Amino acid sequence: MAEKKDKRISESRAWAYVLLGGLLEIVWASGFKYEAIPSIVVLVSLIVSFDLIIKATKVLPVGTAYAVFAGMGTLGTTVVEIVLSGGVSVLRIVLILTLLAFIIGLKLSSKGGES
Amino acid sequence: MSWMLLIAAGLLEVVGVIGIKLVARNNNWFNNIILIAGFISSFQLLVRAMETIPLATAYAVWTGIGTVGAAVVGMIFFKESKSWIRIGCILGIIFSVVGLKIVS
Repeated sequence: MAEKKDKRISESRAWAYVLLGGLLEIVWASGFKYEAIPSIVVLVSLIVSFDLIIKATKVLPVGTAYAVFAGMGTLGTTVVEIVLSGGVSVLRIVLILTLLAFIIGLKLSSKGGES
Repeated sequence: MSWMLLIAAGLLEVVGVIGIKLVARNNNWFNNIILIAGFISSFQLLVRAMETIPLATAYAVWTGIGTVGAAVVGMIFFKESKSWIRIGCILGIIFSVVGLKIVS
């Protein structure tokens, strides 16, 4: 396999990719629900966010990068819903945060036996 | 019904993630089809589920099921850690999803 490898990006650049990818994740996920966000914006942010996270995880520990990514998406969509549909019940926020805590726990404990 | 679609969307996301791993290993057309078909069908079902399920709940459950599925696949096929912390987190995610279903 004579595939050419991507040039290795720096760690701080990879973290910038995770943050930008996380923001774009909020955009496309919100676009799935709210028609105010144009389809082209949803499609482009979806593709770019995937591309960024895949590039970032070539440099960063996968579990940590995905934990940050999932955290941004979850908190971001909660904020978007509060703003656009006028509130989320406290019980639902608590359950979403509990779910997020377990997701982060599971992602961060993933290195164990990889490879 | 929407919840069935949402759970199916989460599981299909896992198919897409497996596709990513397979393509990284062997970049042939078959593995690329698994990757693309997994994600496209997952996104379509997520959009359908979101017609009735609120954004934050749908997104969190979709990501949660995707995470659990990827972890289980990793434990079975890719020799990832099976520590009790990970099992506890998986149970915690399932518990939270059930809770979100109940309050919805």
